[in-house]
Amino acid sequence: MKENTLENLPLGSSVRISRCLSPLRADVYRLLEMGLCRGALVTVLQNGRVFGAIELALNDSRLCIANELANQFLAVSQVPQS
Amino acid sequence: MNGPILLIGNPNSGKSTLFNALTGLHAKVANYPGITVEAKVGEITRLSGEKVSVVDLPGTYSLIPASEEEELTVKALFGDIAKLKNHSLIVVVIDSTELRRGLYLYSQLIELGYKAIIALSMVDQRPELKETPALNVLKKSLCSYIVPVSSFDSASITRLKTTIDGVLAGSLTPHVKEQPLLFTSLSPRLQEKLALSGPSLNYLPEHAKNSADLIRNHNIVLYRLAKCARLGRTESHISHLGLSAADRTELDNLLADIPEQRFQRVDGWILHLNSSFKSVRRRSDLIDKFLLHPISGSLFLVCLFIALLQGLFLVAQPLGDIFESALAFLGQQVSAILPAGSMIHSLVIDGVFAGVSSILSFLPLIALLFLFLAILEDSGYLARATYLLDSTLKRTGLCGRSLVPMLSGFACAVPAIMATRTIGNRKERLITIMVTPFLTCSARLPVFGLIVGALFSAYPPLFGVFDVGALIFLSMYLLGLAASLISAAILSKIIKSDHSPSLAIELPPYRWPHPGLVLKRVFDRIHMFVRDVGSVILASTILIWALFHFEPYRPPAPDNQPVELSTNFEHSYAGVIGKTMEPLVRPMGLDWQVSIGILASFLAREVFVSTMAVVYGLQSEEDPNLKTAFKNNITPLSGFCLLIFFTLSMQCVSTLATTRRETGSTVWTLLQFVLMTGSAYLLSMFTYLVGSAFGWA
Repeated sequence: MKENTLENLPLGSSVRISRCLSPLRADVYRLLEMGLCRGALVTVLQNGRVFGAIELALNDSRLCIANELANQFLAVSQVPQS
Repeated sequence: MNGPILLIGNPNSGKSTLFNALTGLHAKVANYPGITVEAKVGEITRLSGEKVSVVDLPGTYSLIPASEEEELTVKALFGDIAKLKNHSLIVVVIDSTELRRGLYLYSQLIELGYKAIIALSMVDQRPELKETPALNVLKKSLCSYIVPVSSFDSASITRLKTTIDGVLAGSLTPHVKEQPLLFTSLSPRLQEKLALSGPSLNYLPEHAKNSADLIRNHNIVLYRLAKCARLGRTESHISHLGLSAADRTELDNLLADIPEQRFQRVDGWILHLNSSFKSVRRRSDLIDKFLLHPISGSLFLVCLFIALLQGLFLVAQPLGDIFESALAFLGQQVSAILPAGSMIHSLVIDGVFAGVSSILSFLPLIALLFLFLAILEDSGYLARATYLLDSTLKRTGLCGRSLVPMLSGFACAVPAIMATRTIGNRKERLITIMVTPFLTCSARLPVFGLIVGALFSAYPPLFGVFDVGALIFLSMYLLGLAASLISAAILSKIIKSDHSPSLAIELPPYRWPHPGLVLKRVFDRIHMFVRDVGSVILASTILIWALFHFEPYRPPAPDNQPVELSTNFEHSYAGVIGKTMEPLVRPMGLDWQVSIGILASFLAREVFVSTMAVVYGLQSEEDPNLKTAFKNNITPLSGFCLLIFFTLSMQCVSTLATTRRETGSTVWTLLQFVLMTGSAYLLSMFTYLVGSAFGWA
C-alpha cells in the first residue's frame, strides 16, 4: 500500500498512520503525545487548501494541524488501492 | 496537616467544572513567586473537619510542557513551587470519551510514583463506565481508585470527596504495579551515568532516599531533558550532565519511542472496554460543516466579531453612565460631610473620587468583553476561530492563539498581555505582547469622544450620508489595527527563533457554557483588572491632583498653619512642567496647556480628559463647556494629530508594568514604549506638516 503524507490525502480518506518524520520536533512530539502515533486511524475532514491546516478525526476527537505539520506524518490507506 | 491536592487533566476534560463542584464558587486566583501564570485555589473539608486546599492547575496533555501554562502544572508536580511542594494527592480528571489520551497523562504520573486517583468526567456519554463490572475491571488494571463524576450530580461529588478523604486518611492506598517506563528503558550504562550525575543536579528533590524515589528523580531528569530539547537548549544541558553523543542518540531514540510505547500500555489497560460510545460529535460535526466551511465559516467569523464589537458599545455605554451617575451622587454626599475648601475635601473629591469614577466607567465594557470571550471559549467556538485565522495571522508573525489577546486588547491591554501565556512559542508570544497595546482599548475612548465631539461633530455628513465624527472614530480603530499588524510583520523579521511551531489544536465538541462558571471567570478577570490597573489609575489621579495643587516656588507656610493649595494651576508643578514641555508639542500645533494633559496621560490615557477640565478651569470633565474650551484652543488639524498620537502612543503605566512582568525584560519594555510613542510622535508631526502645507489648519 502506498504511503502518503496527511496533507496530500483527499477529503474523507480514512488512513492509518505508518510513520512520523522528525519525531523529536516539539510540535510533532506533542501530536504523538495526543495520539497521532503509528497505527492510529484518522479521517480527513477538511483539507488545508484554504485555511492552511487540515482537520482530522482521531477516535472521538477533532484535531486541526497545519499543512507543514501534516507533512511530517505518513499514512497508508485503509482500503487497498486497485 | 495535609499538603494541597492537585487537580490535573487534559484541556477540555471538565477539570474546572469539577473543581468548582468540589470547592464551590469561593476559589481564589493564586500567584506563585517567580511564575507569572496563575492557578485557582479552593478548599474542601474532610470528614474530620480539617480543611485541605485544592489547586486547579492548567490543563496539559503531557508532563513535557509546551507553554508557560503547562509549565506551571509540571513545576507544581515536580515540587519546584515551594507552596505546592508537599502535595498530598493528585486527582487526574479524565474525559470518558477521551480515555486513552487522559490515561496517557496518568501513566506519566504513576511512573513517577505519585499518589493519584482518577475522576472520570462526562460519563453520561459513556454509560458502561457507570456500571460496576466495567469500572471494576478498569480499576483492577490500573490499581487505582476511579470515581465516575458528573458536576451536576452531587452524589458523585460526595463519592469523590469520600475517596479523597480515604486516601488522605490512609485507609485507601492507590498503588502502581506497572514498572516505570522511562528511566528503566535506558541501557544500564546510561542509567548509571544519570544516577551518578544526580548529586550535581541541584533541582533534584531532597527526599531521594530509596530506589523508588531515585527512579522517580531520574525520570524527572529525563522529562527536564525532553523539555530542554523542545526549547532548543539540549546542548547546554547535555554538557552539564557530561553525556556523550552516543548517550544523546540513545536518549533521543528513547524519547521518540516513548509515546507509542506508552499508548500500547494504555491500550492494555482498556482492552476489555467497548470502544463504541454515545458520541456528542455528530451534532458538533454538523455545526462544523457550516462554521468551518471556507465561505460560510469565514463570513460567520467576520459577522460575529463585528456584532460583538457593536454590541459591546451599545450595551456598555449606558451601563458606564449609570455607574458614573451613582458615583457622582455618592461624591455629593461625601462632599457635604467634608469641610468645604479644605485639602482633605479636594483630595477626596478631586483625587480619589475622580480616580474611582475613571475606573468604574470602563468596567462594563471590560466585563462584557470578557463575558463574550468566556462564552465563545466555553462553547468551543474560540478554538474554531483560531483554526480559521491561524494562517492569516501567521503571515504577520502572529499566530491563531494571538486572537484572544488581540480581542481582549480592544478592552484593556493588561489582561490581553496576560492572555498571551497560552502561546507556547516565545517569538510569537513576544510579538503579540509588543503589538497588542496598539489596538484601541477602552481608555482611549473618552479621549476620542472629547476630541471628535469638540472638533468634528459640527461637520456636515460626507457625501450626505457618512457622519464625519463616526468615520474618524473608525479610522482610528483601523489605524491601531494596521499599526499592530505592520509592527508584528517587522518584529517577526527582527526577532530570531529556531523554529516557529505550526498550528496543532484540538477542537472540543460544542457545549452550552455553564452560566456559573462563565460568571466566575468574568468576575476573576474583573478582579484582576481592578487590582492591577485600577490601583495604578487611582494612584495616577492622586499624583496628578498633587501636581495641580502644589506650587514649586511658594514660600513655606508659617508654623501651625496648614499648607495652602495652589489656586492658579499656571504656577503649580503641572503648569511649570507643561510650559517646559511646550516645544515638544508645538510641531503638532498644540500649546503648553495640552502638553499638561499629554503629560498626565502617560500615567493612564483617560486622565487626559479630567486634566483638560482642570486646565480650562472647569468643575469636572462632565462640564459641557469642556468641548467649547477645547474647540476655542485647538484647530481641527491639531485635534486630528492629537487623535493619531493617542491611537499609537504607549500611555499606560499598568501596561508597561505588565509587559515587564510577562517578558521578564526591561529592554523589551523600553522598546515597546519607544516603538509606540516614537511612531505616534513622528506620524502626528508628519500629519501636521502635510496638513499645514495643504492649508488644512
